[in-house]
Amino acid sequence: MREDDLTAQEREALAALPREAPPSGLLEERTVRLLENRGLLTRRTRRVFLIGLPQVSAAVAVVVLILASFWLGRWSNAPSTTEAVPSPERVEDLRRLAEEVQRAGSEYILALEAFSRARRGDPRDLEQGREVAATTLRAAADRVIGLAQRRAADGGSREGRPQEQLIWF
Amino acid sequence: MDSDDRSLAASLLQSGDEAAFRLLYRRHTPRLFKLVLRLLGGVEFDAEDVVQETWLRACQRLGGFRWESAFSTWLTSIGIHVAQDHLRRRGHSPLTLFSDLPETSDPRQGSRLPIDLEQAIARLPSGFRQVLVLHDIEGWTHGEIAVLLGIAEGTSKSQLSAARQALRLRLREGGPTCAKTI
Repeated sequence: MREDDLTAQEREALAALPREAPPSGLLEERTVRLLENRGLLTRRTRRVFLIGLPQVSAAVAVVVLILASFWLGRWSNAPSTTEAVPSPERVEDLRRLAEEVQRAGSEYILALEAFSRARRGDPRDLEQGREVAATTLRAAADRVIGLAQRRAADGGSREGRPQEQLIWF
Repeated sequence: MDSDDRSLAASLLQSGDEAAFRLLYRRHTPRLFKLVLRLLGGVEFDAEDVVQETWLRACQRLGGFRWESAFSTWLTSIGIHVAQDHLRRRGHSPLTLFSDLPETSDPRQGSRLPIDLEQAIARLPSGFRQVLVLHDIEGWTHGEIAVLLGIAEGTSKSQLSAARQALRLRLREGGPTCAKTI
């Protein structure tokens, strides 16, 4: 036996070292995105794994927000050009819509808080949850901007009416 | 998880099947990650970058893989090359001289704090560490190591011999606890 040969004890110690270690859960998503960007993987619609109440609440909030956005979009894209002063019905619609958006956003934020506390999901689910959150909040922000513009336009032609205040979440 | 590597690789090649990739990734990454982590001396952040780059290169070259070796062996060899590139970029040579070792009488080194075998390996110079990890832990032959690292087979043997001595020294320096470890 040469001096630098491993002893049986050394061999045993080296053999006992672990051969595997999991990297962080986000590395898989990072790698998948990189491969998608390089055209090595086919991009597909991300599945959102919904498990538990917080995630369901988030999904419901998203649906409400999308419907409200759709409604607002339809309404604001087809204004009556002959209408110089908004009718009381239109103002009421606008107020109701603002409330819908506000409620949806608030529910969504609450759901996200619960979601972050849950910690029982797969890290991939958390990542996807974050993506959903970012997309939804962007959509909400777009709606708020559109809403504010409409309200400013309507407000200018509604002399004497008290300005309603939209409190965002 | 029943699909074999070859059929998953075929799906990946033919249609860029994400699910097939994920299965391959989950099957082989824990081992690849641990190996790369050891080769890089335990820096997790760098090891993750190397693993990601390894998968990128593997997917780019998958069409040319002839399946004369196991997929895991092929992937590992890519990982070792990527780790080598990474170390080179940081100024590490695949070769280490015994004289490159820091003075063991340095009070910071000889603090008598117990270190375990994993830590002792991580603290070896990269040239020693790579040969020792590949030979003594991963079970590669000197011939395979020589090809992978681009060194002569005799160099691999001498590096291993020096690496073992350095490791023993470090474990002794580390204190009585780790001296018993190996």
